[in-house]
Amino acid sequence: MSTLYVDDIVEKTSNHGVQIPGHIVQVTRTYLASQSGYISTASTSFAASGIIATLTPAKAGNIILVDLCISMADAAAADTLNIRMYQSIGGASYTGMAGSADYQCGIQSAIRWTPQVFQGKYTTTNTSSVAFQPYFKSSAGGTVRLVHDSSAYGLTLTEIAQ
Amino acid sequence: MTSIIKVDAIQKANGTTPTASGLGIDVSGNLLNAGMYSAMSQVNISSSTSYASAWTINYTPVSSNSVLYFFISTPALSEASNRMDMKLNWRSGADTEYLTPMDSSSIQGWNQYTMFIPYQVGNSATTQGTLTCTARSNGEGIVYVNYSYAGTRIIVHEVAA
Repeated sequence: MSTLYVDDIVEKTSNHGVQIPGHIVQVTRTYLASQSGYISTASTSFAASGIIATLTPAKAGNIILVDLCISMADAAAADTLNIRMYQSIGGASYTGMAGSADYQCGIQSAIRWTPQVFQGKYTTTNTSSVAFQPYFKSSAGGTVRLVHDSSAYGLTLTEIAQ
Repeated sequence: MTSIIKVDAIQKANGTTPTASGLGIDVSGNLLNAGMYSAMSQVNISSSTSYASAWTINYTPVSSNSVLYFFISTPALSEASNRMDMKLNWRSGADTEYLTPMDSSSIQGWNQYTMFIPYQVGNSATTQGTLTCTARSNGEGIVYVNYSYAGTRIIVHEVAA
């Protein structure tokens, strides 16, 4: 057993930091306590929500946990609200997360006002910035609301060293 | 050249076990501390338009310059097609009001409902603080927070500001 006694640790080279497998490297959150108006669509194709969280990984191979929490969504026209998490790497166009389908979370064919929660994981392949954004659509063209008026949302990214 | 020091443990020079902030590695975005709390007591929220106490938890930050990310899940039961508003408050600061995070007005009868709220607040002290939740049904019927054996869970991540 060896113990190192120290008061401060300062990285020698920028962006190296302390890399201990399993430890959290950094956390960021995009948060709004009260939405003014609705984030809504009647599109039957996935539309960007504008809720974006971005993180620049410290090291390729680290994982990023993605946590989306919306306090109230709304299938206003009794249509189906489909929500799917998209990502953009290094400023490229947004694409759906690998393995994601059309219905990672949402509301099925009924007028309901419910929270929406999504949890995902992404393994970084380089240290380019990664942005995550939920996209949403209506199955049949009726109005659906990803975020209801006066509701809160949070999109949290957590990088974990590997 | 990359430099690597391999050790099994790191301690402060005075022999005490350090925190991340104590080691000076609490750069913005670093996770400094995490905790999970429960609030299990059932609370009956009447139809009043005034807010009543629902639950509280105490948390002691490890840094005086941090942001607290709360992940809150609170179950509630409505007797009929009721709604409920909530407020969260940290250290007796400004209230953050969440309007109708529970809304079962499209469903008839009793409904068990779990609210998910992403609360966030800045922190500037290392003394114990209290997170307070108040609720009201605002003219609707009675609502039960933590009904029966259901309980509120609060996860906090303290992140360097």
